[in-house]
Amino acid sequence: MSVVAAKVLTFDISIRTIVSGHYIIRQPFQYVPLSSVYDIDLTSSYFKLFSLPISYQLKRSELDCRYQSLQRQVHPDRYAAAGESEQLFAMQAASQVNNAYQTLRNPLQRAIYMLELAGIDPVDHSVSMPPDFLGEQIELREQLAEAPHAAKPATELSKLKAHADACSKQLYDELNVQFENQDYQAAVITIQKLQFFQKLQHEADERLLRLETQT
Amino acid sequence: MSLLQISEPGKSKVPHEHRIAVGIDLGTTNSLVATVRNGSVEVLSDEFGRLLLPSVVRYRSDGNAEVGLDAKLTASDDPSNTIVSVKRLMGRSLIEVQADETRWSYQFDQLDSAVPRIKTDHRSIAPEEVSADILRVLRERAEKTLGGELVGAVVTVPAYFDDAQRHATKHAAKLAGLHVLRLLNEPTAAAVAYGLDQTKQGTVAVYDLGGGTFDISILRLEGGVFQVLSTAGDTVLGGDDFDHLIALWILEQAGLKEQGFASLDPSTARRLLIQTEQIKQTLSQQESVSFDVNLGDAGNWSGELSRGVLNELIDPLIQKTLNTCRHALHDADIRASDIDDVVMVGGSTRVPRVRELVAKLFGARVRTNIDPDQVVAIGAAIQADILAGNKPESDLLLLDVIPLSLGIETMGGLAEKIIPRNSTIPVARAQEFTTFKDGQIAMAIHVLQGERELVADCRSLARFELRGIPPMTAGAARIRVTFQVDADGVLNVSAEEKSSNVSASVQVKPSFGLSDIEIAEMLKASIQYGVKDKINRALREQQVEAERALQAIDAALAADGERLLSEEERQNIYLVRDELILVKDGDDRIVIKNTIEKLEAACSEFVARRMDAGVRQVFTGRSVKEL
Repeated sequence: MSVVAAKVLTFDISIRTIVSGHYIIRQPFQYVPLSSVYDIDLTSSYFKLFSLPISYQLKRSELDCRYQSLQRQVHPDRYAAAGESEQLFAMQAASQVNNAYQTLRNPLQRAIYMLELAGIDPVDHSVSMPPDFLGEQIELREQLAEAPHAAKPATELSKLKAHADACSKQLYDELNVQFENQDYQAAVITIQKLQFFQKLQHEADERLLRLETQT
Repeated sequence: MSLLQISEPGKSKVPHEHRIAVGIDLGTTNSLVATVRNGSVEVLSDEFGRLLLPSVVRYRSDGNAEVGLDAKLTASDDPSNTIVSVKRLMGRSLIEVQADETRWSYQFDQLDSAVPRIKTDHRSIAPEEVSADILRVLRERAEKTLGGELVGAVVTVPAYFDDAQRHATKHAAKLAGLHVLRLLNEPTAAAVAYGLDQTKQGTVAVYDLGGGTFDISILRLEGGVFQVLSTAGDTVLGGDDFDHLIALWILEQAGLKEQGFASLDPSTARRLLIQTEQIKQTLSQQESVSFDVNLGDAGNWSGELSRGVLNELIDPLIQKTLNTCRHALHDADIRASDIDDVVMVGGSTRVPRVRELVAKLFGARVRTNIDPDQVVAIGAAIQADILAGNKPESDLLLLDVIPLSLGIETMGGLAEKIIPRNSTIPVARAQEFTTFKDGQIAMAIHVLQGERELVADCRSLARFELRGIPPMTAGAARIRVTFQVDADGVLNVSAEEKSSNVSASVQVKPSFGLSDIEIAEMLKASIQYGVKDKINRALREQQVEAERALQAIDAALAADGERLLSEEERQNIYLVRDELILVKDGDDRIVIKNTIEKLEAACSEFVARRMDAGVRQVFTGRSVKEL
């Protein structure tokens, strides 16, 4: 009888291990002329994969457009009639494209990823947060806890959410400048602040949903 | 098995020919098959011109299965041998089935099998076999109408189907002799059907209320790409429940509330439900209906039901679906007002009250111009045509998501999510775990599905062990667990200890699904019921496969054996190769198959190295832009 897994604190996301996995190739390679699935370099950075410059600022429409054209190229459905090795590679490439897209489209994930690219630990907990920020967070959490008991809970929660949204927006603007100046130490703090607000927004959202679906 | 024979880029091109592929909507109440013929979609009918095949199978005492309308019509005479709503049993455990509020009119066998087996007079039958019998009729219908063998089928499943239910559906198709090109989510299929005539850009909600399941999907359509933003649903809520509520109302009116539904004998109950279904349908056309029902020992009861009363009865159920819609909107991170269009699917969306409340929630126009019973099969047929390669120029691409989070059990009975729900598939994620005890040499990987934090609240999909971890202090080992979900939503899990490279993997088979032996037995049974030469054919196929494997391995060893393998590794492969030579001319195809698989396993590392080397060769000295 063995023991189940124990969590470790660090983790990373990669699909490269699968290549050295346990797959058996049943069919000879069949290259699709012109746009081959093998044109995708799975080892390049997410930015390069999407043909974008490494920059925190990115145009969402451009990202979406690149994502769609990449998926058109690599999605396994394009290789439903191809050999199994090609299907396997397509699955890996499409997985990588999906991971990259999820990371890049989310401004917080994108910031964390950029720090990783720069060799900085984005979850460095030794960084101390400003005391006034922490005080403000405690206050906001108290408001969140009390909101469901208020006379108009939905209004209270919406107000709280709007406040968190506004603060986050300002922090993202700061993050933009910090990345432009390559001020990564400041970016680490901003990211942690954003994580506080994200948690707050998420919990306010959950409570709002619960209110809506109770009726 | 042929080991990675790399051919020149651009050399191999398959000549174009029309390949017959179909879309199948395997529904709780009715099933349909459709295809694309001469550029237009066609739902195929039986010899009497009927499109819908009732998903009802009656097992006669001689073992013959009667599928469809005949079975449905005689259902009330022989309820214990007539299987209805089998879709609700697919991929579910006996315990879950018995906890279900549905009142099954047939009995279950209490066997060792984790799968519910239905007791009939002839023998006990697995849900997969019942579904396979339905699929077989549709396959035969298609082959007869289209005059050829099918290259494959796209079979639709509710978006909310979990891994176990998808596996069960795939097994059923296999038993019916169908090659599954893709399992497609029903709402996605419906959206594809509507994309047929209109080029659309925007956000669409697909509201699918069928006989037995409810699904809501939020899709984004842009430039030919259908992206599922989120899905949610309820696998045990549908129009059947409306019928049931009407039946309960009748019992109450007739003064039989106390005795309830359970007091009726099975055939009376079945007849009553058929009648209440008709009452419901009539009320979609008119404001009220008078009727006369037989309540068995309690005699006849006649009365009148108005649409207003029906609305009151079913409003709580509709509200339940609307709450699920709100969850889906929340997951997609959009508001109800962001929805541009609502596509209605499933016969139950003919109920005026459903249309009214859904339109009110989304504040958008509700689309009903394609028959809600056919829309899913039509979409599946369009996708099957593309996947079979008949439309190489097609611009349509479907990006689906997984409906439920996937993860593993960690210490303390906690579920650790590795892939969150609503991730676009295919998707691969890896996470590192470590040992809990000093000198721990094995780790149990318990694969889970669900949103809850505690293992006990999640669904257990599979367990396997990683053995041979070198003894280390607790927390020192680095075990990478990788989840890969393919485009069908089917999961593969592998675990690897990084310092020693020991690894283990499974293609996840649900814990409570059919065991391999059961599957083999079912396959054997389906062969026995067929013609005898199928057995010979299966054997012959296996022998051919063995020949092919031997040729491939010999060629691969000759080319790269020295370069990529150590002497010991080569010897290991030769050992299994010689074993296959010995067994391949025997008449036991299972032995041959197992030996081929053994050879595949022995070669897996070799294949991986060849693939790496092959890919490296292609990339060496070339950038993406050059290619």
